[in-house]
Amino acid sequence: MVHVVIPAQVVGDVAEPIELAVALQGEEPTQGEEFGETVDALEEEAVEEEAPNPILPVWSEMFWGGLAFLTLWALMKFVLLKPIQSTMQQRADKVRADLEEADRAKEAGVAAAAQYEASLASARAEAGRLIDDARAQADAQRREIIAAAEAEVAELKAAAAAEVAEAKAAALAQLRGDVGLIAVSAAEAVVQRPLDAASQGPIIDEYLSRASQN
Amino acid sequence: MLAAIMAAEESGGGLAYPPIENLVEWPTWFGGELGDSLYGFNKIALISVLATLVTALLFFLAGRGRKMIPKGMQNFGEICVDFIDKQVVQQAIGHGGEKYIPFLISIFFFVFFGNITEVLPGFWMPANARMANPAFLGLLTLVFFVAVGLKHQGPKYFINVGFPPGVPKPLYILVTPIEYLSTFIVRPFSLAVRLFANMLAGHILLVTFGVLCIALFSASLLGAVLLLSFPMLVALTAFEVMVSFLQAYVFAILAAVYIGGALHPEH
Amino acid sequence: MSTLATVATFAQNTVELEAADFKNSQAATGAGLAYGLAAIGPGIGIGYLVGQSVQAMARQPEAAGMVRTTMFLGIAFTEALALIGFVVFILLKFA
Repeated sequence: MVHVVIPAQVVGDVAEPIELAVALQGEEPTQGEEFGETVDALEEEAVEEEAPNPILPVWSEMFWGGLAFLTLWALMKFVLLKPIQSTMQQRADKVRADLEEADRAKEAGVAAAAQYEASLASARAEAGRLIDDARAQADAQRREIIAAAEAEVAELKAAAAAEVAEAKAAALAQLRGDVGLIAVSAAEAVVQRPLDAASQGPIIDEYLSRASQN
Repeated sequence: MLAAIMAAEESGGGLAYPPIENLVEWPTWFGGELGDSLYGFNKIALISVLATLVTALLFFLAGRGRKMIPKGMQNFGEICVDFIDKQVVQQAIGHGGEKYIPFLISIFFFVFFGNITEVLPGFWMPANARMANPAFLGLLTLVFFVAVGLKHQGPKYFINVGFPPGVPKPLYILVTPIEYLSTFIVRPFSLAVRLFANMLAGHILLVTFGVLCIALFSASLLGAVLLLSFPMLVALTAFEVMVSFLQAYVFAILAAVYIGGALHPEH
Repeated sequence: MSTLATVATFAQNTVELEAADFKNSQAATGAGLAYGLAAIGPGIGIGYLVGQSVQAMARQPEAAGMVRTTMFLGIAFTEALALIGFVVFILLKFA
């Protein structure tokens, strides 16, 4: 593109442009033509650029786009989405039902476990009660046996004590008799005369009882 | 892209950026000239129609298997429905928004397909880099949420929009015009412009790096720089895939937010 | 007389050309400025927004899903300003 720019002030002057124009016409007529064409082309371009603005929508494209979109929307609304959404709904329902069932099963399990625990606890309590009973019984028995043994021991002890007392009394009686006789005989020897053992008896007894008291 | 190659070839391997009309305006195949006729069929229209056909086919295949344990395409369909339900409807509308899943899922897939053709071989053109589809979807969203508001709040909807509760009375002089403007004009406009400008910017970015790579490839002296610009082109392609998804998601969730606002006036 | 007419048309053409050039250069400058200036605010805004969201997610990982959705919404609203700048760029440059 050839740009020949002539300032407006120069154009205002008459003499030089005539020469220039003559020179252009005379020597290079083609350049002038080309220049005119360029200007014409520029003007045409300017006119053309007014019409198809790259920003503004074009009706035919909008027509086809709108038609296509409305078709798609109608298809989506009435045909395409229904099976997908119903399948998803069914699945969601099934999942919910399964979850509820699982919840129920869990609750049943918990209840069974509680029942088992309860029965276990009662069995344990029963066992404890039995053990306690047995222990109480054993205690009573033991106490009985011990009491019997103690009674026997006391009886035996009493019997032994009675025997000892008896033996002691016998020994004491015998001793008293012996002591009397010895004392009477000793006294006979002292006085050289027979003494009546029977008359001396109370004195000896009195003495002996005093001696045993001391 | 072909235009870019042609331009590069014509200028003898130099760096020549094609004019923007060559990047976004596609001639019609039938139905009259672009801009003159009402139903001229060009690449953008093809992408729109394919978006509907492919999405419908995917969901038809997904809806055929109705097993309790999903397999294959059924997984895809259920993941999509679940994604829109959990990430868009439940987050933006809340309870009672399940009715709007078909609309939102259509929006999501239509926008996503129109975006992803930006990087799909053979298309190399996002349908949403033309204002037609975003403008249509924005206006449709406006009509949709106004209809939802009228259905659930009655004619009082127009009063509720302009007079939010909890504002001192004199401030309504200021608040009410702003609310009307932002609800009925800025919302569809920003929806459309956000999508359109994102995709146009991405497209121009990819074309720029594509032209750069071609120019550097044909100019052997500068070939070394290709090692930098080509990985950049690859990275930008990946970035644009993400942007495609994100813009579809943002469009769907904003539509859901507007519907939710019309559904529950207190928000 | 005919030469004078030629000169007149020529001069007119050149002046018009100059005006078109002037308009184009002004439009290009304006376009660049429009996009550049429009990118500043949203850049800061999105940075702040995402930073705060990451902080929120780190503090409460269980609320990450909600925070992420809200973050995307905020990004979408903030980004709109930059995109309007981009549209103005396209309008100035090509329309």
